Amino acid sequence: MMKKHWLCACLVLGCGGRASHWDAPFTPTDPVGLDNAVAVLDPTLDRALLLTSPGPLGLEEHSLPIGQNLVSASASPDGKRLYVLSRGISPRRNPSDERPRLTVIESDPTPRVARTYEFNDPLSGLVLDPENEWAVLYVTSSDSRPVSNPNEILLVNLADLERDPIAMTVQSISGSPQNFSFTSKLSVPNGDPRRLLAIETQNEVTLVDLSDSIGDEERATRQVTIPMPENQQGATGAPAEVAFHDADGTLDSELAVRLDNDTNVLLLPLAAPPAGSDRPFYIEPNLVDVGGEPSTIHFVNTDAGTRLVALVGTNAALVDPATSNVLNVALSKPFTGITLVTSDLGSDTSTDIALLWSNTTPTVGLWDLGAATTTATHGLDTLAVGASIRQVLDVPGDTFTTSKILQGVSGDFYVLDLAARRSSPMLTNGHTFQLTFAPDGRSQRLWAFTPGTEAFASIDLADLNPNELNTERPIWSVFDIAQSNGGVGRTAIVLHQGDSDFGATLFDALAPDTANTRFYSGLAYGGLNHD
Amino acid sequence: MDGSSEAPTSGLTDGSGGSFQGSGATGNGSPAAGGSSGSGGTTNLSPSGSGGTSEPPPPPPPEKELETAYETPVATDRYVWTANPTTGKVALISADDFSVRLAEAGNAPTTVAALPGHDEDAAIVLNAGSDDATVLRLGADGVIKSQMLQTHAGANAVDVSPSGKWAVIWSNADLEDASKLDPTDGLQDVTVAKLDDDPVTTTILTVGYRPSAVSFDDQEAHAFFVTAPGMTVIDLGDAPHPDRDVLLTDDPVSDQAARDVSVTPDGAYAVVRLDGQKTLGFVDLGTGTRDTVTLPDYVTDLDLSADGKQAFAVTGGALVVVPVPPGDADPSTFARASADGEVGRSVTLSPDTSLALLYSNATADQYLGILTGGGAWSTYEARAVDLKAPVQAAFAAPDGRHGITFQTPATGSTKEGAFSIVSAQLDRAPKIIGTDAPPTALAFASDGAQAVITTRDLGKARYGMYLVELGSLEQTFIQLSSPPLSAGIVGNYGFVAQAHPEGRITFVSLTDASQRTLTGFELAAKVTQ
Repeated sequence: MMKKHWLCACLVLGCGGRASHWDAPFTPTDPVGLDNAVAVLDPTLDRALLLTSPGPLGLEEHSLPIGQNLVSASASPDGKRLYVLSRGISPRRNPSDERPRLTVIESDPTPRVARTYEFNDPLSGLVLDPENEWAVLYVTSSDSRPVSNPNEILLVNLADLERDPIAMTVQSISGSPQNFSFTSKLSVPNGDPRRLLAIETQNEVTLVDLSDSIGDEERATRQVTIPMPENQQGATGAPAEVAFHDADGTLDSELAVRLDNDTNVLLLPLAAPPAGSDRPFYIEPNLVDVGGEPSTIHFVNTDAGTRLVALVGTNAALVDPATSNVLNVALSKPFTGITLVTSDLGSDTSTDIALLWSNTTPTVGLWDLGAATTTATHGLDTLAVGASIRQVLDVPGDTFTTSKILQGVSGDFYVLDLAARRSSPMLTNGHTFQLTFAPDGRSQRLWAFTPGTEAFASIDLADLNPNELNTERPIWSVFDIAQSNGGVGRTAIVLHQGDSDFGATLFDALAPDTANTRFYSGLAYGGLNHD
Repeated sequence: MDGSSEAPTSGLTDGSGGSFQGSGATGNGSPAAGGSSGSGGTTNLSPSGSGGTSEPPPPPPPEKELETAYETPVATDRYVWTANPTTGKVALISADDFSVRLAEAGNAPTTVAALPGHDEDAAIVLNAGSDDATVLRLGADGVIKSQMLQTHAGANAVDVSPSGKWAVIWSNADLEDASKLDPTDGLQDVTVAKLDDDPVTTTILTVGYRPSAVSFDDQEAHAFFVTAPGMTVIDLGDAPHPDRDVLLTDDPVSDQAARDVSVTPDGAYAVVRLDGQKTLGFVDLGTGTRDTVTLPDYVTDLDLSADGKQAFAVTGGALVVVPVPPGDADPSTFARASADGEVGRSVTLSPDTSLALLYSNATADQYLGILTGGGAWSTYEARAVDLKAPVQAAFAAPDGRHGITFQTPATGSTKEGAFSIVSAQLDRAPKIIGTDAPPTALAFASDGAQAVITTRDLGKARYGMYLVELGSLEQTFIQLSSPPLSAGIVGNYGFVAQAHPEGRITFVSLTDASQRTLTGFELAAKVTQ
């Protein structure tokens, strides 16, 4: 085989020609940032180009093979891995036709393919566990097979790349997976604490036990499927969100499901199984009406104990899971989102502090749940900001834990200091900026850019002063990565996309200066550098 | 069934405490009659208007017909039983740990009745879709045993004898849509189930046209069906059979709609009141002999003592105690009691007849007569209290120490309804509570210490329940998220069943008012686990 390959290669080269795909246009997908690399996926040549920075303004390019017919590429939540899902050749007509594939690429110390999983069916959905332990491959609507099992999934144990994927069919009466949530480790009445995978279908939630203590066959057969209840209008409910909390000494561990177009939330306590059962828990569902359609739900620790908070209009409904009693707390503003910031603020109390925000009103609230049920203000402090908020971003790293980035619906963004109760606006003159951080937060900088323009900004989170920067070419994307080879420096890689190529302008991420850059071109072809 | 704007009118009792899905007195009031009242004493009756030459006064306007029962859950010692017609299941909800068990019934189970008298929780369920019934018994081992019983077609009511030996399954015209009933729909089939038999045996019998009520005698040897033309007596015996039909009035054809019939517990007599008449009829059910007592004014309400020895008639705004049978007694010697300031048309008695609550709902009347007596009522104490809002119904606690009234909004009130807590203790003021929705159902704890009241306004989506501490006249409001259907007591909890597609019930502790709401009785059964 090897000889034939070389022979073919020699024939091609000898004829003075080149493979046709070298003439194909360069049509990469959006680049993906890792902790110490940037990945540009080139589906035309079935390769991932990983850019690393070995030193100040230095750039290395690594070409790694990926599967044919790229579907998606995602970075692991910790930025250490790149997961590339490809469809392969479909339908396969020859034994040599490539199967669907998940390629795992690790970037440290140098980029390499750590594992390739092959499977039979071209699954096109990929969900990654926030705790980097599992991945789920599933069927999406883009799957064009004549006959497919929409409930087919593959569970990949990311903690042990040597293990084979676990194939299973999601237990469902009439639905197919629409959303996946991983719980943290939850105590159960009968067995060791374990994580659960909650799979939302159109009208059900199915739980898959992720415990190491059960075999894969048992994992597949012991799914728990909870049909959604009917709402007051008699329509079968659809799950919209899953929340969970661990047992707290008084309450069992519990999941809660927010339902679409329903004023009820479904509580799913992990109760003790019937006597004699070897099951780890038994689901005893209960519905609770929270007085309106909630925009989101979250379990919190309040001065009255663990409660499920449901944001409903200008109220927060605090649901006691033990009794289903609901305490309505008036919040004065219609908050639509909640983010727990207890640990960010270094609170050592047993109660939570939550950041409330809204996509309909320019106000955020800091909610001390330790006073939620006992004081006139319910522990809520509000702060006017300049816009309604679309998204709240954490600042990575340990230095600015009390800072949150508020992305406004208008394109502006705000740096909120939770400790000082202060919001600093970053006006964008109507442009919609994309924001990015160093995954490890070590550069202590926030990068803001608008694709297609030459200007971007670096905001030092210590003083919140924006540093305007420019490149000579339109920006494709910006990344702040650690230098490889153990260097302590950091490099900002600004990518530029051309018609058939891409390039990069490199900055010192710790001291970005337009006067101190290095430009690299021809990266689709191996690269040329220009000081 | 929508009863959001209607106050209760008829009483239902569950296994532990009293529950009222509407109840109350119906009938006609009489014109205002003075009559002496106040504390103590016996008052001889004299015909009103004596010596006058004018036309006799017309009968008073009718008291309001108030709503009767819903398809509601019932409670046994430890469990609330509620049927789901859609799934064919009956949920048993434990008041010990709020766990839910499910039992299979037949097609479209609706009406549930508790079966007393056994060392187990048991109930009988009518299956509207399959013309049968299911007897469910929860054994000490936790196993639910069921037996299907064939019934006649169209059954919608079940009454169980006090010991639990018999169940009579019948078809109540009042629970049917009158506009859909053909005149030939006599609803005359009844099914008698002998629950002592193992397996339970049933007998289908025929009674008079359109039965409206059923009762048993103390020995449970007979069942008495009040029917349109009169009464059908069923001999239960070893082989239940119709024993005889008895006429209750001289004119059974024209008197049907206006009759109010009570049967004494020993089954010896039926006491009959007719709207717009001043007479009480006493029918010897053994011989069919009818006797009549004429009272001085229109008889607007009638109740019997628990032992059936006394009939309490409301006439001329006062309470008159008539012995049963009256024999040759002179009506002028009957004990009479009234309260200055209240012209009662209806009466509610405590089980021991020591407390009588006199009121009228035919016209807006915000006064309540509270009368305490007992025995022959030769002496009594009375007072009328101003409850500020018109009284719709009154309920006496099982211990006779307190009462509760349901009221409509007072003129100028911003409230949608009201209820009041009254004490039999004459020197205690009533507690009046305005409500954001009309009160709809009530249940007393068996010892009369607490009560649970529901309020419901479907139009404004205001639903709630009150836990009432009768001793202190204090109340705790609990907001509900679904329309309450009924209230009851089980164990140490009050409960309120609510309208919800998946079934919803809220329990409230009678001791500390803590609550627990369960929704989706069958959700756990649908979980694949």
